[in-house]
Amino acid sequence: MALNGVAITGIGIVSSIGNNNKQCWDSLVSGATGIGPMSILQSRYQSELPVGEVQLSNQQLQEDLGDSFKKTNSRTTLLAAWAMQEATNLAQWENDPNIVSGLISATTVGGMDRTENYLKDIKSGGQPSIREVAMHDCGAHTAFLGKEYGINGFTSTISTACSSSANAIMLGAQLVLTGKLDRVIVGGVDALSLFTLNGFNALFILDATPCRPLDASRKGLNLGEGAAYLVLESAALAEGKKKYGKVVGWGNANDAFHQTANSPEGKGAYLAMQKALKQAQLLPEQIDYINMHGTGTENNDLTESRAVKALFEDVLPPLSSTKGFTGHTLGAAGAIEAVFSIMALQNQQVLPGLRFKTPIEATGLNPVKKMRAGNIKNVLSNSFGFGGNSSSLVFKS
Amino acid sequence: MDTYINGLGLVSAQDTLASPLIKAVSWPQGPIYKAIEPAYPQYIPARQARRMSRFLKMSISAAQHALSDSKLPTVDAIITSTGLGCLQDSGKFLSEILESSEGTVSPTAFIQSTHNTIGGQLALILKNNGYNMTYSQKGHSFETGLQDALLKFELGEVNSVLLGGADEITELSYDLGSKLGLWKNSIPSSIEGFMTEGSNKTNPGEGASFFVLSAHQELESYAKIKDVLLWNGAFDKPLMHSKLAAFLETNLGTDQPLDLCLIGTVQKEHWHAISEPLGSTNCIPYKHLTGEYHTAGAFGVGLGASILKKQSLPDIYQNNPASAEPINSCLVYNNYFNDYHSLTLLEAVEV
Repeated sequence: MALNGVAITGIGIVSSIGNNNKQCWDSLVSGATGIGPMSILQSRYQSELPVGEVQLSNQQLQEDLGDSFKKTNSRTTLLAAWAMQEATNLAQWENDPNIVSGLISATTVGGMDRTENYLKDIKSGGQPSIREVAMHDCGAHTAFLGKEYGINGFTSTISTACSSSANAIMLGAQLVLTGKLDRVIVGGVDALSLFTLNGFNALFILDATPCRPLDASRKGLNLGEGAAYLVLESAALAEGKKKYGKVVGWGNANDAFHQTANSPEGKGAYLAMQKALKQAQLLPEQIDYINMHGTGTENNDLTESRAVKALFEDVLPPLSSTKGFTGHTLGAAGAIEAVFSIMALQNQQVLPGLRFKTPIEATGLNPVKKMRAGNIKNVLSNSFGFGGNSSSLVFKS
Repeated sequence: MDTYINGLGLVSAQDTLASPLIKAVSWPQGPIYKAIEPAYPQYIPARQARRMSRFLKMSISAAQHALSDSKLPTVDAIITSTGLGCLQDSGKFLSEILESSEGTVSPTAFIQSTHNTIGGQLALILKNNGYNMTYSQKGHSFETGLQDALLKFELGEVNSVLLGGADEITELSYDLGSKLGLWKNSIPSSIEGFMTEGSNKTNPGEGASFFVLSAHQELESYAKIKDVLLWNGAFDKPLMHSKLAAFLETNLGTDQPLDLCLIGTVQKEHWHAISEPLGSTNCIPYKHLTGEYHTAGAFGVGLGASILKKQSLPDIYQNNPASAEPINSCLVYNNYFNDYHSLTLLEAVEV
């Protein structure tokens, strides 16, 4: 397979630290967190559990996105459409039946927010419209957006928990490099929901204060929401266009240890990173920055740190987790952090983590605390999830 | 790169696990096609099974059956697919949250509610650190997973893949589907009664279909997978005809006949649109055996592969003209709610 990877001709993002690429970058530069009290999601944990909520209501999203989005109030679909619009605008996307175009999205709970609203209304004696549940399934937003973008080739949704959108990027890169697609929109989305909020809360892995990824005192994660998409194009189509970077490496492995906990040595994480480097034909010392999965949970941060140390040994590159900014955006995390990784390449800056003070004793990793200039050619981004799903991507300038 | 089906496990509303070539149709007792549950102890240690939902147990059993059928001890990759995922566990957790107004809830159902639960559990049981993916794209969930599998073979990344498609129906999902106007209330008892004219309304079903795919032909190989084609859109006869003709010409050539076509649809118009241009090709239906669900196309592929291996149709199709001619090629057309179409071409292996 071609060694020079696949060109990224557009990136788009919406997260709790910004409604577009520029706002997100500005927040990363200024160190402004997106973690705070929830205002859009209606939950009894409103004042107890901070989240990374996108500061746009469904109505605002619908109004700005235009007429075709009046049909749906699925926040998942609206957030996805929002980020996809920015990515495709940058890529100068035109619907064209002669170009074989794909769409690979990713999500963990799809339109769950509407389904829980529907069932809540029923329970309190209301008569909600059944249309509320029509966008429940994970593939619904992809099907909806596929029509918007005139997608005529491979269209699917990946749902491998918190590694979902990293896998979407990986598959898209392979489909373009093998010539099965001329171009593809890849990424992922998740909206905050009572389902995931209460689920992670029941597992006792939510921090009631803003999370501290990779810190010895970390107490858990904060849930976030958002969406991010990349446009990948074949060499022929990308010619003459602005390129934001390239996807050059990918690795997917399974930890095969426990449904929700990682193996002590982070075997899945190690294998995913190793495969991604191999695919990129890079040595560990050629990685200039690692965007860690770094959720802020006891288990993830320790095992991921061990895996990174085992692979990189004595030549640890600068690393950090940006989840202190955005919270853990689940199915969107891999794509959001892909966009951050690409921004690091674009701006030649190493990204910081927030609220780090003390290294984890067992591993001693020291994440970057302040954004700083660097000569950044290759960035590794990690995404791991329930079910042992572990994926790593390498982006090159 | 050729890809062979070397192992198969079909859990459906029919007794297909031991052999998909069933002797008689077991029609459902009500409007829903409930799957026949396998003898779980054969496939899952009791200690593990206790914590699993019915859906998870059916899926793991189908996967284990396919693996032992293939005689492969392990595989290089696990690819699963589901339209709606672990509905029972999702519904259970959602009700717990709503009933308790977000009170103290057990995380067990949440943990097992993610769409990748089957793939994750299979990796765990098989101690498999390989490539692991889960697809969820309505009526193309299984088919896009199959396309990914074929891509991995083409790239030479794998020699074997455990591929599956599974969906379950629960009380809640049936109820919501009824309100969305998806289901018929009638109880099917014949193919004629199952297929409707001018409507997609149908009887819902469920099932788990697993395959061991391999780059190598074995003595017990079922079939070779030639190609898959997917498209979306409402009923459009000329479009269906042109897709069908182009697909067959590319993969079969103009001089080779198509020996068999399995048609998975709930609507008579689709049946005619596919069978008419095929002329003398023997066409048989399969969705009356399973009911409708997102990954029902996987059942069609499994049934087609079994027919190619045995070189005979199951007894339930005895009204069709019996033929002593070999069955070399088998096309599977699956239609999900008239928006998700797929064509999968299977070929008999050379003995």
